[in-house]
Amino acid sequence: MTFIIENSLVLFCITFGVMQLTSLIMKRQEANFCTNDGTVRAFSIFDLEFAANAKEIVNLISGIFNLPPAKQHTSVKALKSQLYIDFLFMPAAYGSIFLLCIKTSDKLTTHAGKTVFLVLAWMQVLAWLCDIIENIYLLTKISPKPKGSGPFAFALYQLNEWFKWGISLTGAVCGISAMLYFWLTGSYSKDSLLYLIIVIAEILVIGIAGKMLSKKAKQ
Amino acid sequence: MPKSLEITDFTNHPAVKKCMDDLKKQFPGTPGKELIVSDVLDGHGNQYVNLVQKGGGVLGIALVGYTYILEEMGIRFLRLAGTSAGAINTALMTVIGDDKTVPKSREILKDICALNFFDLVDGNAAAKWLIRTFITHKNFSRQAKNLVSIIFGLLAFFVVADIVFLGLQHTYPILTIATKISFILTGFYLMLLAALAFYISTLVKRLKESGFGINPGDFFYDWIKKRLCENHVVTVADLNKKALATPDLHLRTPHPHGTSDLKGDVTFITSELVSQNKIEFPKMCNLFRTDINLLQPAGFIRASMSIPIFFESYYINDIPCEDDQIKKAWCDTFGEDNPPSKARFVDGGILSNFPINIFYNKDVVTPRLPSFGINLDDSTPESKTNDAAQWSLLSYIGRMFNTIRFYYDKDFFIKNRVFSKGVGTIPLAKYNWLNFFLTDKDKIDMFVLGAQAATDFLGKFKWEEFKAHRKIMHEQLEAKETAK
Repeated sequence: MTFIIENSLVLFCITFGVMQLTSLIMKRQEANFCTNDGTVRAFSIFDLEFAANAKEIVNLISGIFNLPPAKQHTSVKALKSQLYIDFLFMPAAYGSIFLLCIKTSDKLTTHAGKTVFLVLAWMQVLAWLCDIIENIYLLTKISPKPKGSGPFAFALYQLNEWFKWGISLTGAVCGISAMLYFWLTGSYSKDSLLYLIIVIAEILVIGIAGKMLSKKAKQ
Repeated sequence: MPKSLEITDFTNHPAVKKCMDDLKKQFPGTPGKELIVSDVLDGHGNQYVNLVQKGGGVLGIALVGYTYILEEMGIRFLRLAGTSAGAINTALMTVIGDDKTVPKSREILKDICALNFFDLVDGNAAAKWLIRTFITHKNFSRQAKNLVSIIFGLLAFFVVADIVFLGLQHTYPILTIATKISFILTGFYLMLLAALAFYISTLVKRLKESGFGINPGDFFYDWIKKRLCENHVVTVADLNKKALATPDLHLRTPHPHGTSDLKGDVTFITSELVSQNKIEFPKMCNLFRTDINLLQPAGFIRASMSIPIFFESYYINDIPCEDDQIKKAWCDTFGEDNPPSKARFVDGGILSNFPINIFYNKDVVTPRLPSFGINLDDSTPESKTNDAAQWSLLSYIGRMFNTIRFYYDKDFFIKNRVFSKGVGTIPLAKYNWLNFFLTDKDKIDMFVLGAQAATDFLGKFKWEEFKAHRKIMHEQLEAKETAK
């Protein structure tokens, strides 16, 4: 079974670039995440994604509204906009992994290998769906008095997280490992080097921009 | 050749001179304006107090500035106690000279002038480098982090270079040479890392073998032993004799107990880890030897200043733990039936850095002389005000440790507030207590701060008020006892 996408490498460069850019924006927004759940402290989106229990999410979000008005406004705005921008990040990120797996599947010669990577590629759609559910769940919670979820709903939320991260990380790690194997054994075409350079350039440009922005923010 | 320090660099410092001038103006000695700090006097008119000196590493120089002013104002010391750096000063004040009537601080200054403090850091070259860098570079932890990042960054760079060249050589065979060079460089780098790891593991092993002490502390032991010997203190009996020697004393105002029971003594505080006790030397020598003169007095001071990790612990081996006399001593002192055969001492400051409580006597109704204390305060204003929720892991652990180690002494002051009236505090926030790389200017500045703190203290100390408060404290205690 084969699934061929025309100009998949060009598409990959685009999706990878968009993923990096949105990731940079979200990282900048995350610097403004602050809560007061007993003590004023910074938090990250992972604290919400991997909360120990439903109460922790409620405490973190309600804590934002315990901050002084100016800080509260900044923190709420940063959290909401990060979740909205995440909707742009999702197609780029899962799309990149999808393309990576499709390309790997295409290059493999064994039937089993082709099938595994094809399945991994299409499972990214499921991960994307999980991410959408997560974001909607969190967006509905953002209020001064968020309603806590019951144990069953929270268990589903956790399961959703594990699916999302499990699928996407498996796809990314397997895809990159296979590409590394192709690279070391010389199983690649000379034309694809250009795309590799573009990807490296994207990483460098966004990395430098991120460093400069954080340096400016510190000043 | 740089000019070496002289006593006059300390004593003739304009700020120290000013302190003396201010005190002489405030207490010219005319009736009603004389300095009165005690009711116990000797034939020369010197007033006697008990003195406890706090530990604090190199900050101990400030203690000398403080005692210098007290001595210049005619104050002498009957009973002395100290921990760590305070124990060093206490030991020197005890042994120098033939009797208690002569001032000692000038002689101590002579020893300080002749001592290169960095000689006390007698560990291996790597340890010295680490301590020097850690102490003198404020951003040391950031520098260390950067160094680790560079090491791992270079490793990552070599590995990535290997992968890139290995992949590219299939398309561009000319790059085969580059691949080989890259792999050779990676090999060399890994070899260097292995050598570094081996050296670090050797240092860690050596640290473990030396009882987790970076510096042996031998230089200090020899130094203090020489000072004791120069002053004819070779055995514990010699030390006790010196400490006990008391001149003819008389009282300013009559007191039911007179002066016959007023005797000098000396106490060095140390922490013993095997039995987990606070040890007071030389009083508790009988816990370790049946013949106390088999112990070396210099060891008491070495034990008291054994800053954990910085110095090796001090040991007393072969304690005759089966001897009935030793067993009885342990049982009487600590209620322990099985004495250890070996004792391991670390800095007394981990238990009682400011042991003023040893001068407490609940039976005293009206004191004849006060207990003075010299406190070394190296806390910065930020350390008192910074946000507790934002502490680093190191600060958090440090705060917990300090809360535990200071509370023993703090609890005494809370319960016996009158004792705090005899305590003068030397502000030393800008100095690091472990900075053995002090410049001559730092030493003089610390001495000046000590002198200024003593001047401030003497200007405020009211002997009659102290006595009255001590009396009230006794009455309150008696009332509590009666109520029980």
